[in-house]
Amino acid sequence: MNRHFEYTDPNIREDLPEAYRKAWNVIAQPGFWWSAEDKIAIAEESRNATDCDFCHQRAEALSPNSVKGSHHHSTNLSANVVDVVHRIARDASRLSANWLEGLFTEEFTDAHYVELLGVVVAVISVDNFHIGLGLPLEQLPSPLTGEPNRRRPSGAKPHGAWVPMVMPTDLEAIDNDMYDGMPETGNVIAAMSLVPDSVKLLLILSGAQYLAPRDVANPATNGGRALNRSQIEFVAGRVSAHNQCFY
Amino acid sequence: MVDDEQIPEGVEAGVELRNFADAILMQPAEEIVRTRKQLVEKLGEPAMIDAAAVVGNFQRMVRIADSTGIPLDEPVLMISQSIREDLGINNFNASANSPKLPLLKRILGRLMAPFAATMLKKMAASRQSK
Repeated sequence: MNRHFEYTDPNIREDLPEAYRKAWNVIAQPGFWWSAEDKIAIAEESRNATDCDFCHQRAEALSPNSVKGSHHHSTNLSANVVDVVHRIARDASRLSANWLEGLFTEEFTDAHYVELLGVVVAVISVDNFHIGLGLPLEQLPSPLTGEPNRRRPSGAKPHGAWVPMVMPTDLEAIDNDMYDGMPETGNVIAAMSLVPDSVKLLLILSGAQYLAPRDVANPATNGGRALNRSQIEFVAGRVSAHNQCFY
Repeated sequence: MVDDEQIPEGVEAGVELRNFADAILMQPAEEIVRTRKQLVEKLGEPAMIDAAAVVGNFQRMVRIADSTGIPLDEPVLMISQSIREDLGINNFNASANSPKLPLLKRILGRLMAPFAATMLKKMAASRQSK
């Protein structure tokens, strides 16, 4: 089996490829709601969105729904699922609660959505790192065998977001380490908690690409990075503003 | 919105960081090469690598926030009121996901503007110490 993320540049912190390998491993496993094959296909579609003409036309339009067409795709995922992946990848700031509610069926639940979202954003974040460094995109992992476990955390409740969330006080014993032992968490992390592995994926990547959860709330630390905290937050703010992210 | 040229003030190598982040987001290959080189010359390669990692991180986080419609907590909404207004952040589509503050709290938020940065830091420290 290929070993992923074998960087030759000694300046790349070792925790980065380690985190990326762990993330690829999570993506390669059967999920909570999607098979491993489907998760890899979702990852592939998130890359297809980058040069999808239909996505480009939509992004340029006053309303994304005013443009008709079909996405550039290369997988067996349904057209609806491909559309969800491409919208998240290319036009997330114009998603809405009504749009999402209209998607849900017995086969595509809020938990399917959260798990799909976790895969899409993980691949985008790793790919952007490679793009910045001028490296080729990493080959996607091979799917592992097994069935989705279809486990929905019993502590998932509405907390004002479009999807239910599990707050640290509502964790089941099996998910006790979900928030790395933190007694409180930000909504942006809890947003993925309907699928515990999606929180795991997020924290693995954030801990290496940004800061460990315990360092995030301490403005005096830069987590030992080569950038100081002001520089880190400046870059973070720039990316957020570019994406018109209110949160 | 704040003038682009004013943004990097107060941040060492702010211009180079901004240009590199923008290049990754817009993805013209030659611009990425050019801005990467400028950033390496200014701060060194480890800093450039960390900057690329932060860009990757927030390309993920913003999509999670926008795709799940998470609201800002009310205390943060109130304290950050003036900052959001001044930067035009309240005009973003996703502002609809957070509750609208009543007039009194908006006024209070304005009055607290000079202390916003300190109060946000204290809130973060309080969360960390729990």
